[in-house]
Amino acid sequence: MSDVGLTPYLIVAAVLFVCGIVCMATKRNAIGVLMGVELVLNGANLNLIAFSRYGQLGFDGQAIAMFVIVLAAAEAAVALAIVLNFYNNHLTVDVDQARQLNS
Amino acid sequence: MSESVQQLLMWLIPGAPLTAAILIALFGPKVLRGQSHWLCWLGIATAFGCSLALLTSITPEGFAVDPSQPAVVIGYEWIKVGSLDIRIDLRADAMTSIMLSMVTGVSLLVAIFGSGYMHHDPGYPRFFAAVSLFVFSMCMLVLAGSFLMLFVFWEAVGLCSYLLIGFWFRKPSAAAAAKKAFVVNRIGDFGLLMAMFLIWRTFGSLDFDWVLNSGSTEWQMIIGANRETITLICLCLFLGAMGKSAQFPLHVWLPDAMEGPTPVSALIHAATMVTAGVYLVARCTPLFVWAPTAQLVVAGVGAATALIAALTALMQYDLKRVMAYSTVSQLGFMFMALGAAAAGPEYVTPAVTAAMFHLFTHAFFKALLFLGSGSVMHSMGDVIDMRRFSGLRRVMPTTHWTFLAGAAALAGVPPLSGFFSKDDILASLSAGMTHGDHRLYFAIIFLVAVLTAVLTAFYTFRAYFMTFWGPEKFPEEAGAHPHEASPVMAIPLQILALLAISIGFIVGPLTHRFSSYLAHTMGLSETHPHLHWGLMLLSTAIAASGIYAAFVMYVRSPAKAEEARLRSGRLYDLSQNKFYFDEILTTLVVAPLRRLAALSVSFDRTVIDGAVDAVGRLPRLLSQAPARLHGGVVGNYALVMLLAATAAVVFVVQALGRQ
Amino acid sequence: MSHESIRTAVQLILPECILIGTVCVMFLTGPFLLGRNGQASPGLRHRWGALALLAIGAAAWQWWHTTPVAAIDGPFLSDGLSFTIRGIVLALGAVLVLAAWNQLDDRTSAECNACLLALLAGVNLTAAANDIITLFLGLELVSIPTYLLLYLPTRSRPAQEATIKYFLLSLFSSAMLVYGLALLYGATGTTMLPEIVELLKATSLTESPLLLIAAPLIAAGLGFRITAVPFHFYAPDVFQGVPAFMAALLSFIPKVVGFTALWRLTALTSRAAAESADAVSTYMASVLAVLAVLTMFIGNLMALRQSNLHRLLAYSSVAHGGYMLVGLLAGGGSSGVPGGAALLFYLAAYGFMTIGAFCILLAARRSGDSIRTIDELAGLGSSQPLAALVLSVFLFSLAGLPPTAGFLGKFNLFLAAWSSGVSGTRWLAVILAMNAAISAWYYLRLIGVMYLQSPQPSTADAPTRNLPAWIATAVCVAGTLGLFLVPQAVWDAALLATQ
Repeated sequence: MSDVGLTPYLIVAAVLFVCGIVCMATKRNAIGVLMGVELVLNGANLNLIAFSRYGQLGFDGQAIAMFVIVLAAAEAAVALAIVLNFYNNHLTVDVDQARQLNS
Repeated sequence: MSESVQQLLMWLIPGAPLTAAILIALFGPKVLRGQSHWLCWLGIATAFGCSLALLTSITPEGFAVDPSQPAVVIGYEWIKVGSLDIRIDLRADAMTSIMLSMVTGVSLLVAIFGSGYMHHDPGYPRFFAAVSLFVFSMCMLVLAGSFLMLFVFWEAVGLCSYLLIGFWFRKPSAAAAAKKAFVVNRIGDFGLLMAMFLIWRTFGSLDFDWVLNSGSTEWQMIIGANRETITLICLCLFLGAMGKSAQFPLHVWLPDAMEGPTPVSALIHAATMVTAGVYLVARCTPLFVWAPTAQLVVAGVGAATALIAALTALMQYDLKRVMAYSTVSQLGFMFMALGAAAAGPEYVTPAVTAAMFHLFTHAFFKALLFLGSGSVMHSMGDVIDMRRFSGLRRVMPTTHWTFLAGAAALAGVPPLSGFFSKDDILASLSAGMTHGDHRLYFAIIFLVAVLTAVLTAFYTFRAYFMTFWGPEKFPEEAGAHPHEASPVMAIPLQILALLAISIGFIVGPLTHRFSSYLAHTMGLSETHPHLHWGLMLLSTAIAASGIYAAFVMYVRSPAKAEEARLRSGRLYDLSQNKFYFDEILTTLVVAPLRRLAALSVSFDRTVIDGAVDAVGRLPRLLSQAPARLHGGVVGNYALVMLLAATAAVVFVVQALGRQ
Repeated sequence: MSHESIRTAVQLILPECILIGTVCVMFLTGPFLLGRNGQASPGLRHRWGALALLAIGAAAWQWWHTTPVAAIDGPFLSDGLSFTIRGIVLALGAVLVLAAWNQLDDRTSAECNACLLALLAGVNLTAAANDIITLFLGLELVSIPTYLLLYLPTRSRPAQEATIKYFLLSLFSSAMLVYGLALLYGATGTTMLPEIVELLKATSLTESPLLLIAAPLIAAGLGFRITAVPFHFYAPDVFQGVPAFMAALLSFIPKVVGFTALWRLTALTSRAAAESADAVSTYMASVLAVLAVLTMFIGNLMALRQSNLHRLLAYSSVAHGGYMLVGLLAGGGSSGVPGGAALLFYLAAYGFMTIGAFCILLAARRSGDSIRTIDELAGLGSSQPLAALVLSVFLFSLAGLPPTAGFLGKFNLFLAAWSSGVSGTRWLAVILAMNAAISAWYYLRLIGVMYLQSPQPSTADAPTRNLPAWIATAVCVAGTLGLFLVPQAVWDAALLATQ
């Protein structure tokens, strides 16, 4: 299997990032937004690992990626609690229903 | 007196009122209640005693070596920011100690009067806390050793004024007046801030001892290299003074400030705070000497203010408003005198001395007039419209004679205090008329001053006659028996009246005490003034003509006019020559004046108030567009964030592409 | 990493270790102190609060005995910046614990206090970060406890709405930040911050196009934390929905981490740091300058319209973010006042005045949670003179008037921006002064309402006693006035950070 080089990884990561960020900005479903976050974080992880692999930069990139994965898990746990509680209060996970607080 | 004792005095002067203010604020509402005035009296009396001690301790012998050096400076290293090293200095010299004695003395009398006047007010402790705080701030303002300190306490006295104008905050007019005073003063503060900034840039310091010390050669070099900047600095300083001292067109706040309790009007809006602007310009004489343009502006604005305010005062029926416009007008006089220093180097000291002397005497007689008005108001059941009462001289004898003393001093009746100080100002203006490069300009200003002086005598005695002469008439609010002021109110009136009568020839041009003492101030020098007999005659004539006109119109002619109307309907008897004269006076002088007065009032109401309101409304209009974005929908927020981040990327990319 | 290097690293973050250790104790023992059906014995919150204060005290003691040292090789460093930030954060962290004290219920107080301590540790770690990884971890150690703190104390509808808004937008910004940091790592090839800064100074953007995307994304991610417009939208809604102590926390803590992180990445943002003509920082300085102007104007103009105090203070907090951004952009200032020092001084001053303002709203409450609308302030001057006076002090400070810390803070920022000598920065100084004038309008309006309007009869019941909130308020008053009267020590500490 031939080596494809750094650029394709970066492109895939960029696509993940853009998908994720657009998903976060446009989805009304809280779970959808969280999926967007995961896409962005994984885009970042892909970048980190690709840089680490192709740049002769040691294992720093992988180390950051591990931290990011752990953080994503922690955030998902918190997210679950918050979204559940939101559902209890609003009987929906549509975040646009959260509009009581405005000017 | 040893240095350490002097330093102690200087700490005590602001310290005692501050302590009083804090104690009253903490314990007033719950513990002291109706006894709050004791602490206030004690604090101010201590300050007054210390001021007098300081006044006598800074004798000319005390700094005979170098008159530009102040006697006492105490300081504290505050902060060093970059090249800016800020010290907090209290600094006392001749001008400071005169101001201190005047401020604390008048404050003490007003505080005593206030305890009688405010007797039944629920905000009694609040009143005395605010007055003590004001006295503290005002003392710090005149003790300031740098422009920064001065600015800080400039704001602090403004705050006290704001609190006290709005003292009866449940009255909408009082709240509105407080707001107006606050907003108008911001314009002046902007000027002072700009001046400070320019001074810092030009001199690298804000200390009086450096910025105003004309002795050093380095200072001379800075001045020589920055003549335009100095002019700009002086104009900015004067803008600051205009706000605080209510000069045209920033004078609009002062008449409205009469919504506050009358003792406050007497203290803050007549005797002390409003003269801070005059003090500032007088203090900065060493700079103004190098900015003749600015001095001409000062004189011109002062003259315009004096005339317009006097014209406005003619047609007012509210006794306090007459006094308010009169204050504005007299402040204009002081600025005219300060501007007259442009005549030449040897006329600087007489001009500044004249202004400061008028400031000094004005404090006494104007405080007296305000307190007298307060006494009238108190016994008339808070009615202040002069058409609703008259002939009070038998009911209120003490108020009557003290008010008469104040009115005569204001009108310039010899040998009362106002006569001497006004005469000094006319002398400075006439010096400008005969010397220096701006003779025509000062000739006009001199004429304005003379006209204003006539008007002053006229409106002062108009108010006096309308209030105290004529048939006895009381408004129904006064109750069955209008009463004379209680002793606690009468005694301050009497003391002030004695001062207003006598201070002029005790310390005035007859003895030179005031001028030779004040000469030991930075920028001033020892002079040997002489009496101006010609001008004194003119002043006397001015006062007499104004008073006579008022007498004719408000005491004699109403009855005669009635008589004439009874005898011949609309036709007037040719033999009634006197009456003819009155009629001519009315049509030729009073009617145009009335129209002018109405014009200047409406100018106040429409143009200047409108501009102030518009400035206030603008920001609200501007915030309407962004408000639409804050709709509360989280998706929109994220979208805007995304767009902004994209915009930042696009900006960087295209900026790079342009290279 | 050898045993020796781990030991050095731990020694550098001993104050944070104390905090985190206490956090572990609280999380682990908290649940066991609850009764059978999850009910706590009344007054449990006092014990947890005292423990939190104790931990902060111990950390502060440890902090006081560290001496700032120059940069070293390792994940942490203990220089002037981290010294100063630690001092500010520990002092105000204690105030926040006091403010939260009676707003927490006994059941969740262990977790809430633990979260508070954890996020304080997070701020300090961000300040001590010498490495992208620690920087990012520090930032997240602030974010995640913040989510929990939003979620735990109240389960009311507005609070939960605020929580989900903050949570989603914060995640969004964190995601942008991570992606940006990943690209930064790729562009520079190292995770050590000093090396990155050195590399970026000399790197032209044309050589390293990845930075084109990395820098704006990092700025956007941190912009959320410093409530820079247009990343500020969450602030008013969230402040409105949450309890007063959380609003106090959100107005201050995210700003501290945001600015600390921006400072550590100074090569991305400071025009003065650039050595190459088209280094990334020259462009980012322009971007941030635009953000600063927008932030100041939008924050102040929007604050004019508000009738809810929490919303008003939220916009005020936005505007203050803009002022501090001016300090950051003012740069080193070889001749005059270092912008960084002005920024740090302002952070300390701002912490005291904004947290103090929320504390007094909490302490002076008449019923329920805290004073929330301007109408409730009416007549406070006569019904609760002390509270009105104290709030006036904070409002004066926020408006930048003497004799308060806010005045000196704005003055320093203005001097720094002006003395930098760059015309663009001078314009920022002028705009700052203009905005200070605009802001005075709405702060002083509140004072007017307190003193010049008559109280509403319905809210005239006696205030509930909240001693910890009053202590917190007293500390903030002392800070606000003290930083004006005796500022030299703090200013010296702030200067230390810029060397």
